[in-house]
Amino acid sequence: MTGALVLAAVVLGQARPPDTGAAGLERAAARMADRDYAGALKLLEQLAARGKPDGIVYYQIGVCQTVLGRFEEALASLERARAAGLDGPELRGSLGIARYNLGDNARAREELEAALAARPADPTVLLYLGRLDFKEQRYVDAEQRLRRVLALEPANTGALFSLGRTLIAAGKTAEGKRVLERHRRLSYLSDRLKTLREAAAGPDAPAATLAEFGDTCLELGDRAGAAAAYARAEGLEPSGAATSLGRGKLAYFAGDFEAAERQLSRAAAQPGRACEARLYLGLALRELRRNDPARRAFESAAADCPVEVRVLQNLAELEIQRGQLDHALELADAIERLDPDAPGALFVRAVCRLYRKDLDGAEKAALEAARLDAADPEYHRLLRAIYGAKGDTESARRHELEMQRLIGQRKVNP
Amino acid sequence: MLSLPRAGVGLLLLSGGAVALPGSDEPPLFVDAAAAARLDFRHSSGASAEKHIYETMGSGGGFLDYDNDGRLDVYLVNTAGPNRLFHGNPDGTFTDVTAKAGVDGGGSVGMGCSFADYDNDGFVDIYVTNLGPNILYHNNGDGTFTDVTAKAGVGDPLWSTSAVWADYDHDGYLDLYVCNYLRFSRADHRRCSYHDVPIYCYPHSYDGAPNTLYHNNRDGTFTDSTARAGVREDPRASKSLGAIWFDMDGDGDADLYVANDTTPNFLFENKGNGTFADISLVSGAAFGEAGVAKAGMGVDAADLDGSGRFHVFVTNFSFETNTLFWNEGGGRFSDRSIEAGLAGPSFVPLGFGANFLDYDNDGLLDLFVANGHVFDNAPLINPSTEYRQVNQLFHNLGLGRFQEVTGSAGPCFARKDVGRGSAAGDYDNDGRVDLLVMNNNGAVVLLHNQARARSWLGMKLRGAHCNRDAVGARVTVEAAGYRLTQEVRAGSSYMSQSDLRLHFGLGSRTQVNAIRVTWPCGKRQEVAPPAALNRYLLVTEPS
Repeated sequence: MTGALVLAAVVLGQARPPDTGAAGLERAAARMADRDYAGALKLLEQLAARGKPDGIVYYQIGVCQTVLGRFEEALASLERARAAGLDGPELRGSLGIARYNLGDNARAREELEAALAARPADPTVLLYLGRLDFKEQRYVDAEQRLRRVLALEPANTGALFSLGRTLIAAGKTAEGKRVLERHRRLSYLSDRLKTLREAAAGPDAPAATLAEFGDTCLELGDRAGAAAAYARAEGLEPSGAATSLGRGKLAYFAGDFEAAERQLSRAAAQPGRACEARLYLGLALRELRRNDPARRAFESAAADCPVEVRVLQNLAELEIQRGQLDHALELADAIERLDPDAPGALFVRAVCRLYRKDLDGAEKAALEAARLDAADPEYHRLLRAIYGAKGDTESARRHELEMQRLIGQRKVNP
Repeated sequence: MLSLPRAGVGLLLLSGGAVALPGSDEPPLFVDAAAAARLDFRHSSGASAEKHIYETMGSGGGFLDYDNDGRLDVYLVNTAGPNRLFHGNPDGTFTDVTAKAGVDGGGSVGMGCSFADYDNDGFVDIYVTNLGPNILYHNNGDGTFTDVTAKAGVGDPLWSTSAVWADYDHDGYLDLYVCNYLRFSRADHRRCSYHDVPIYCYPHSYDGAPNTLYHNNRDGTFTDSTARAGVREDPRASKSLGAIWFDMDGDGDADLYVANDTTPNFLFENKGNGTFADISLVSGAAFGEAGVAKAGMGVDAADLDGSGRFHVFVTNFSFETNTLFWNEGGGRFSDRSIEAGLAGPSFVPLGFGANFLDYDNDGLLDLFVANGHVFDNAPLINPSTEYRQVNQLFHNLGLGRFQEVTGSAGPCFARKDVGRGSAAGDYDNDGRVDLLVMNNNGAVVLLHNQARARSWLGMKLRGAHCNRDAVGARVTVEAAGYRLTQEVRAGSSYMSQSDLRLHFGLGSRTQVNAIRVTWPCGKRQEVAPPAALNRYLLVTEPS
C-alpha cells in the first residue's frame, strides 16, 4: 500500500478526467493535484450533497477516501458511483484496490480481473493481482503476473519485491534471494540518491560527492545523469581520479570497451576503487578478446579484494577457454562455498563435463542451474549445446526457443 | 514465590467473557492522570528557527522500579532541559527525586532511555541515549546513581535513539544494543525548505549512522562486539529509531529487530554461538507488502493469537501504514496489516510509540499507538495531515484482527498532541495496565486505565544464574481456553521502556492451570499456579 497505494489510487482516479465540466469537480481535482485529499473530499462531499450528482463525483470521493486510508467509506462511494451508472476499468480497478485493502480478497480479485480484461497491460492492476496470487499461494500465477509488470515497468520495485517473495515461497530460493537483494540494493540507492542529489545541489559540492552522485545515477540506470555529475566533478578535479571508475563503467555499458579499458586501468590503481575497477576491467578485456590480461585482472581482484562470485565465475570461464578444466572445477567449488545457491558453480561444471563428453553429467548440472535461475538465457544456450551433442534435436530446439525468449525479455527489462 | 506489595487492588471478578469495548455508560476507559499524580514534566525540544532535525525527534521515557519497593517509578528524557526521575508513592502520586538521584542528563541533548540491572547487583540501572555521548547511570541502591559511562565504555558518541538490553550469548549478563540515527551535529545542520518555507529536514538529508552492540564483560565494562557478532550493516543504510530483542523462533535465544527510518528494517537471527545471521530479506520483515522501505519509528512484538510466536508491529510515517509483520514460523514473516485492520486507520497519522497491552484484561493483547507529525508545519507540505494528532487504541478481537476503539477510549484520546515515546505499566498496581506518553515540546501524559475489573495475574521474575532482571525470560500461562506467552523485555516502543513485570489478563477466569517459565539461560520451570489471581507474583529462578 503506502506510497504505491497513493500512486495507484491517483493514477486510477485521474485516468479518466472529470468530464462533467462542473467547476466543483475541477476545484476538487486541483486540490488532489496538490495532495490535499482531505480538502478535495470536502468539496466533493458538498457537491454530492447538492441534489443528484453524477457517478463521477462519487468516484472521485472514493478515490480521495482510498488515498486517506478510509477504505470502507471508499468502497461505499465507489459502489454508489457504480449504482449511478458509472463503469469501466478505472472504477473496477479502484473497487478492487479498496476491497484488497479491506482484506476482501475474493471480490477484489473479481473487480481487478474485470479491470484487467479491459486493460490487459495495466501494471497497477497486474501488480495487485500478483499480490493476491501470492497471498493465496498461487505462486505460478503470481510469478507470471509480476514478471509481466516488470516487463512493462522495469523499475517497479514493488513488483520486484513481490516477485522475490513469490520465488522464495515457490521454492526458487536462489533466484528469489537474488531478486530480493537487487530490490534491497535499489531501495538503498533510491534513498541514497535523495541524499546525494541534495548534497550535490549546492555550489560547494566536492568532487567526491559529485562522483558518488554520478555512480549512484549510473547504478540506477540514469546514464545521462551520471555523465552530467561526472562532468561537474571533473570540473573541480580535472585529473578525473574520482570519476575514472564511473567513466569506465559508462564506457563499458555503452560498448566502448577500449575507452572502458583506459578509464578502468586508471581506476584499478586507486585505493577504494580498485576492486570494482578490476572486475570491470576484466569484463572489458574479455569483450576485447584479450583473455590473458582479462584473467590477470580477475586474478588480482580475487587475490586482493573480497571474493566475489562474479570474479570467480569469469576466471573459471577463462580457464575453460584455455583448457584448464581442473582449475575451472576448483573455482566452481570455491563459488559454491561462497554461495551454495549460486547457479554459477553448476554452470562451470556443466561446461567442463560437456568438454569431457560427460553429456549426462553436463545435462544434469545445466538443468539444475536453469532451475536455480530461470531468467538467465545462458543456461539454455548451454542446454541447447548439450542436447545438440546428444542428438536430441527436439530438446535442443526447446531450449533454443527458451533462450530466445529470455534474451527478448532482457532487452525489455535489462 | 511471594506476593509483591500492591496498592488498591480490591478487585471484583465479573462473570461473562464478552469483549469489553468501552461504552458510554461507563467511566472513561483512560484518563490523563499526570497532573493528579504530580507527574509534572514538560518536554522541551529546543525548537529554533534553524529547525535542527533533532528538535522534532524527542523523546522517550519509561517505567522502572529503581528502589525495589514494588511500585513503578518514572524516568523521562528531555531534549533541551533536564531529564527527570519520579519516585512512585504508595498513593499513586509521584515525587521528583532527580536531584537526589543525580540523573538529570548533565545538559545532554536527550533522546531516549532504557533500564536494566547490567551488573546483577539487584538494582536497575539507567541508560540514556543522546545526540552526543550516551550516559550509563549505575544505581547505587540508596536512591542515588553514579555516571559510569566512561568506565563502562558505552558512551556512544553518535546520535543515539533506542537502546535495548538482552543477554544474547547467555553468559548471565545483559548486553546492550544501541540504535544510531543520522550522522548529524549542529555543525552539519542543513537548511531544508518546502516552497521556501523552512521545514525540518527529511532523513535523506543526512547519512545514516552505524548501530552498536555492546557485549557485557561481566566486570562493569563493555566491548563493542558489533562486527564480531555479525550485526554490522552498511551505516548509510542504517537510520535506526526503534529496536526490540525477541525470541523470534522459540529457540531460547534473543533475536533482534530494528526499525529504520526510510531504509529497510533489519532482522538478525541469533545463531546461538554469539553471532547473528542477517535474515532481513528472506524473512520478509525488512519491507512491508509493497516493497517500499517505510519510515520505521517504534516497534513492539507480542503473541497475539496464543501461538507462542511473537508478531512484530512497526509504526511508520504519515501516508504509510503501520506494519504488522505476522510471524508465520520458520523464520518467515508476512505483512498482515490489512487483514489485521491496522492499515487503514494508520494511513494518515504518523506513528511513533507502540505498545501491546491487554487494557481490558480479556486475555488478548491490544495495541496502543502514539501519533504526532515531525513537521510543525505539516499541513503546508500535505494539507491532508496535521502536526498534532490523536493517539490510537486498537482492541484485539482475536484471530489476528483488531478494531480501533480510539473514539470510545476517553476524552484524552480525543486530544491532539505530538506523541513520541510510550510505555506500558501498571503504576498503581491495580491490575490494569496504564500508559505513559511523551509529547514533543509538550506535557507528559499518564493514561490511567479505568477499565472494568477482570481477572489478571502479574509476574516479576528474578534471575539467579541468568541476568537478575530475567530479561529474555519467556512465560506461558494456560487457563481454560487460554494460552498466552510473553517475554521480559528491556526497551521497546520508541526510545522507551515498559514495566519489566509481565501482565496476563484472564477475563472471567478464576484460576490458571499452568505457568511455564523458560529462563534466559535455557532452564525451564513449572510454577505452581497461585491459589488466587489478581496479584503480582515474584518468581525466582531455581538454583
